[in-house]
Amino acid sequence: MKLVHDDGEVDRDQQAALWCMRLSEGPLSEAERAELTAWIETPANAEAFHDQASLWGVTEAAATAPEMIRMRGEALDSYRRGHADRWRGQARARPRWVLAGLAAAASVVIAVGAMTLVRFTDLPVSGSADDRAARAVDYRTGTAERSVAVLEDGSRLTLDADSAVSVRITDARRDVKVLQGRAGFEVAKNGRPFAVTAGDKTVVATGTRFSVELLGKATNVALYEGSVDVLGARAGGARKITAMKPGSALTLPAFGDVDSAPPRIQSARAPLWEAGQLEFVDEPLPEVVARFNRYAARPLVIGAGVPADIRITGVFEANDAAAFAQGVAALHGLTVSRGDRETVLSAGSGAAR
Amino acid sequence: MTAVAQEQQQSIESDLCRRWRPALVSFFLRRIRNEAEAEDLAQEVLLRALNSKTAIDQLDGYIFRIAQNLLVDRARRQQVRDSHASAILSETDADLYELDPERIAQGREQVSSLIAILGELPERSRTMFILYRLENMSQDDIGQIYGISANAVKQHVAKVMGVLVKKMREKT
Repeated sequence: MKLVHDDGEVDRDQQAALWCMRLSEGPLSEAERAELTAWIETPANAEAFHDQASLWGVTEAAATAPEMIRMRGEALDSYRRGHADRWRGQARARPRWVLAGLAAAASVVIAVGAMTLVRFTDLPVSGSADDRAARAVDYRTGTAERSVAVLEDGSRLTLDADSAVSVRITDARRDVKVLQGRAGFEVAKNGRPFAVTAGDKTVVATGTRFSVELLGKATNVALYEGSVDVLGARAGGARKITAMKPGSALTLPAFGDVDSAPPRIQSARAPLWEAGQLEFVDEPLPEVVARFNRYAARPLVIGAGVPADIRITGVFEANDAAAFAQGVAALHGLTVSRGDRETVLSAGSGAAR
Repeated sequence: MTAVAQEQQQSIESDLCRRWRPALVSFFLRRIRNEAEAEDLAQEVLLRALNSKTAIDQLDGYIFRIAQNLLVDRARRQQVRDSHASAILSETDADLYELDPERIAQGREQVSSLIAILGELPERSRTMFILYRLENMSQDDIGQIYGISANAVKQHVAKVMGVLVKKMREKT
């Protein structure tokens, strides 16, 4: 375990670090033991080793300091971004199962990051209850990542690709704001109201399973189990728009009065998106494309001349936007072409590029 | 034990190893000056911690009580044939808790020095160190996002740790 500089000088502190790293992995082999024993016989080496081991302990003690939590959050973010870049860079060359593996790895990282941040909220807080209420935890996924996190109260949060929510849990209430994309919830029953806001619409639940999505200018709510109330913002307070029944889905304008645009109610089955599939029932092409683009390393773009009234019905693999594009093109006489960064659906068959 | 429970056990074991083994080996080595025995004792501590019913989040403090007990037991055994052992015993009594996490937390100067030094490091060095040391990520996984080998990650982290120790010495 030699570490020699260009000028031939051996850096003891780095060697001591390598020994600490090696020791943290488990018992040494006979040969390694002999090597360490010989190395540590030099007093300066022994001192370097004990200093390094002491740093190891100090690092452990610093792990939950607020400033360290912040740096850990940044490190995990940076790791996640690194993964997403890598995913984009290699998407074309790699077989699909590798992509699935990378996406899964990325979502594990999200969960770790979330746990770290939740730990932050657990730290003893010397301030008032208001201070605690002011602390929100953000969860975010990148393109083609999906992640599951268990919230502080035991509720389960499922985050679709390219989505973000902000969670704020206090002794009195549980508030989630959907900032982007779609989130599913399995709400733990514990008396505190669980409110999910998307746009100026709020869904209030107790113990139930549902999802809330921001898509373009719409807020979509799907209820799988239990019951929820849907509220709209009004000057002077929220107003109840409707109570939903299990197995139903609702589309509302994200902002503004629903009276001018009556809610679209459909049936909602098990949430396929949580399993990596997208299901559409008679939905406009632009909305379908927007959903696919949460997963697509190479976004789909609707080019000139594509009829505005194309509607999509079917179940698709979320990570295979290309196959979806080919299918739509074949069905509606469109052309699929590859741009520098995107896949373009445009009018006219056979007119390549 | 079911496969899941076994996997859980293994992950707790490697987590404990990662977090405490180097500090434990150093702790014993300073008092025993025998690498093989120090490592055996460190391993014994981790095994006892694993088999105890102590909640995972309370294991850290528990670990150093076990370490102390092992050291005291050993000193008593040796006292029979080694008259110097009593000296070891009294020495260990004095600073046995130096690695106790609560003790370390009380030494807030060290913690805040470390955080300040980390904050001054280049972003890439800090990120690699944190991912390896606190997020328990493998050198392979870290290497993947930087497009470098696991060994290059290891060398880089060691370099960062070398810098950290030097700067800690300057500050304290």
